[in-house]
Amino acid sequence: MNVLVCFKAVPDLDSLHEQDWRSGDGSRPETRFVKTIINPLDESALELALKLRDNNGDIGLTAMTIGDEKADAILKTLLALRFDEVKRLSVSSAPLFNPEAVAAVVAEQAGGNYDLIIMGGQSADGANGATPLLVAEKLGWPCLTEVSALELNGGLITVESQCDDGCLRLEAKPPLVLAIGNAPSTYLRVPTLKDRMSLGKRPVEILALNDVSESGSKLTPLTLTVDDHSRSAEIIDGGAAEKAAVIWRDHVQPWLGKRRR
Amino acid sequence: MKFSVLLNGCSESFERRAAELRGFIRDHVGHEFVADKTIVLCPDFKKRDYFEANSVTPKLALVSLGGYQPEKALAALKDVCRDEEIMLLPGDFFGAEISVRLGARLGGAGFTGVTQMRLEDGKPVCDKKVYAQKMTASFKIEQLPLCLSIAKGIAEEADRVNEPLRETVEIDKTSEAGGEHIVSCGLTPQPDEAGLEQSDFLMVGGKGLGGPEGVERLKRLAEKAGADWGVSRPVAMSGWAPMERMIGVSGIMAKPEMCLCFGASGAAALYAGIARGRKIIAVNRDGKAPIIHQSDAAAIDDCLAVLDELAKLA
Repeated sequence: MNVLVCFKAVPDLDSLHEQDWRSGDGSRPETRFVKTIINPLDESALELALKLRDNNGDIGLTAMTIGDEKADAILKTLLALRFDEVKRLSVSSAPLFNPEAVAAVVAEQAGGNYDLIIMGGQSADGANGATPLLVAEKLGWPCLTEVSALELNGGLITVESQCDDGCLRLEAKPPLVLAIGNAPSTYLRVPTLKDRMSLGKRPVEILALNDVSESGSKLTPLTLTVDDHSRSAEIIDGGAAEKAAVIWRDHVQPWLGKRRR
Repeated sequence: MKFSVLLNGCSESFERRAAELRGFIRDHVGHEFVADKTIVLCPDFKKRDYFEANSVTPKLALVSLGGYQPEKALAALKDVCRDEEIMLLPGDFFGAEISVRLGARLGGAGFTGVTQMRLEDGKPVCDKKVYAQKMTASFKIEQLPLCLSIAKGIAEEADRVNEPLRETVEIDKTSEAGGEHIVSCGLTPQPDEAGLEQSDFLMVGGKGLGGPEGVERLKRLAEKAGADWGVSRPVAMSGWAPMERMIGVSGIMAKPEMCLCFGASGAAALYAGIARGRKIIAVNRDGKAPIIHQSDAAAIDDCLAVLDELAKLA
């Protein structure tokens, strides 16, 4: 079985300070100086794919991303984690609000070569929540969403998937697109130093991609503004006991009194 | 410009999602838009009275599927919705999935997580949260039909306006193809036992709790104080607490009257889950963490030390 895992390298938004959000050119915040990480739901997708192979040896794993050279360190790590093939479709800037274009590229690359396409359900920055769904539409494949666990049984895929009424356990026939949701304990494993030194030195396949940022988009971004959630932030001083006393006496207890009445 | 509402009547949460969409239309949709009909996917027509009682609009179309299966639903909706201009879907898993795929199938646009819709120069403009909920982006929709799902937790539930139902149409799509890839399917119901969405007193723990033992201390304090408790995504992802306790954009969107945050940095994705809270009190050792200036009161300290002192007072 051949599995394609798609991921996006994104800026670590948690490390942006308040003033950083207001920098940039108005089309996106300035994140060039922030650490690059794997989009959290895509990280789960990569780890779930590795777990799938842990339990079923005969699986070919390919990892693919669209973006600039910031993703290459991640791709090297994936080589060290024994992904058979890793590739980057090189663009100077990955489309942020154009899931149509990303899905078209993924579908074209995947066509006929894979049984499973796995990716996170949504990216942290663009938050379109659409790419895996559109890949499925373009390929005419079924899509299972909010996947939190997967196994291979014979030629069938068993997945756990959150739905609005609970957790579904589905047994399905490939080909499938799997959109990964909140999956516990799926932080990407760390390769051994030995594997990093030997396997991680293999070449990353880099393919030039034409600019797809505007292609096929059905939306035009108009404005992007920072939300201000500032509150009064009264700082409570003293030792731990004094702080707890102020929290309880001045804030919680008076409210509890009203709540009970 | 007309729009219709699309709901999953096969789901236990149908009634609540209908109430949320009523609230969304009242508070978040421009008056230039006119609600046309409510389309409900349902197992059969036996509960027609129930769906009529909860219809969002005076016109109702019931589409029977036998049971909800996304591929089958999409095949049916492609025909049922072929003349629609704008479809409004709820902010749940159903809405997020179907809005995008139906938009694509109808040759239009699919859009998720919408917080506002208005008309500008004759075209719909939708707002949504991006960049981990820290920014709001506005988009002009260039191609209709538009299928959009609303942002989770954005809308207040609203009662049905006392307007008589004018028309109910029944459409039988039980023989529609789709879902043949599924060999077996079992559902483990997960009712919202914790009731965190309705909690008025919530304690939230982040990575600063240090591990499962810290989560246990938070839980004991919450129980003693009569509060509910939840955790940030990193805590749930690390397996220190069950996923159903996760607060934030990918978990529970709460609206507590009183919210105490322990050892959570206030990353935007978590903060979205408590931003509608009336009072937020933070305890965090990092004075520069976003949660500090996003709180009404803050103690800069080891969260477990303050938590243990609070346990003596509760």
